[in-house]
Amino acid sequence: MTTTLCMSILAWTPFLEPAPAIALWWWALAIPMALFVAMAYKATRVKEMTDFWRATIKMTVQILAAMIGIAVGLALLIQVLLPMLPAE
Amino acid sequence: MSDTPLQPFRASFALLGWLLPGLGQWATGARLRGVFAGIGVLGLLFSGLLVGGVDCVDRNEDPLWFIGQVCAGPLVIAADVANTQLLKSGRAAPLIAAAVPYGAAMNPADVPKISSFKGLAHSNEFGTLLVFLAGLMNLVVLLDASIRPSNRLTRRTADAGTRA
Repeated sequence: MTTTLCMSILAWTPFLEPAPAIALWWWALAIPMALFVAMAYKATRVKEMTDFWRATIKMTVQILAAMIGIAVGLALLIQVLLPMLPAE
Repeated sequence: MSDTPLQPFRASFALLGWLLPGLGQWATGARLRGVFAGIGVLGLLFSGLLVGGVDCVDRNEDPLWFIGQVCAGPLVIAADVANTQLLKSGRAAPLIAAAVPYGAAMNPADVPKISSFKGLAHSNEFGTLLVFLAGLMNLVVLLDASIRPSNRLTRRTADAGTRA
């Protein structure tokens, strides 16, 4: 598995070919996505640029927490609540 | 609610922001804002292209996604051209026969050919989404640049430009 992954990374042509083994770590892409969205947004919204990083990190954490919350809520709905409904 | 009067819409700054994300803010004098806004938008754009390859920008196959993506600037158009010129033409990677739908009778010569570098599933979904987000965020950034008070004399004042 590891050897196969290493070989596919070595054979990867960035920007032309999709990133290898993305099915294993697709969820981690939420972190840079939230960070870059927060950077672009807060660059236009903060009053003082001295507050930029604090506001950016706060918004990044808020986005990730909201996504995790929605994921947990949907998981509970699908795996716990819906199976409790009568089968008929 | 803003503390300083906003400028009327200035298309020239919006155009600069489309050409290079953050350039509109830079031109108004808010250079630090422009740099960070540019890093945010270009970070999303290049993350998307890295994850999904240039195939995640496709004017013909994903026209609705492309409308949002193209707001990120000419780099997206370049990615679409690269997709057409390198992948779809078979110059970057060999073309292979696409899967025939189950039960469909097709002449082997009529089966469409696709690039072996074509992104599928998660890679294509995330690549497309990240580039689309880059376009939407750049729309926010260039609209901000188009109404931001211009202050080239004191860059610090422009960077501190009061927007509530």
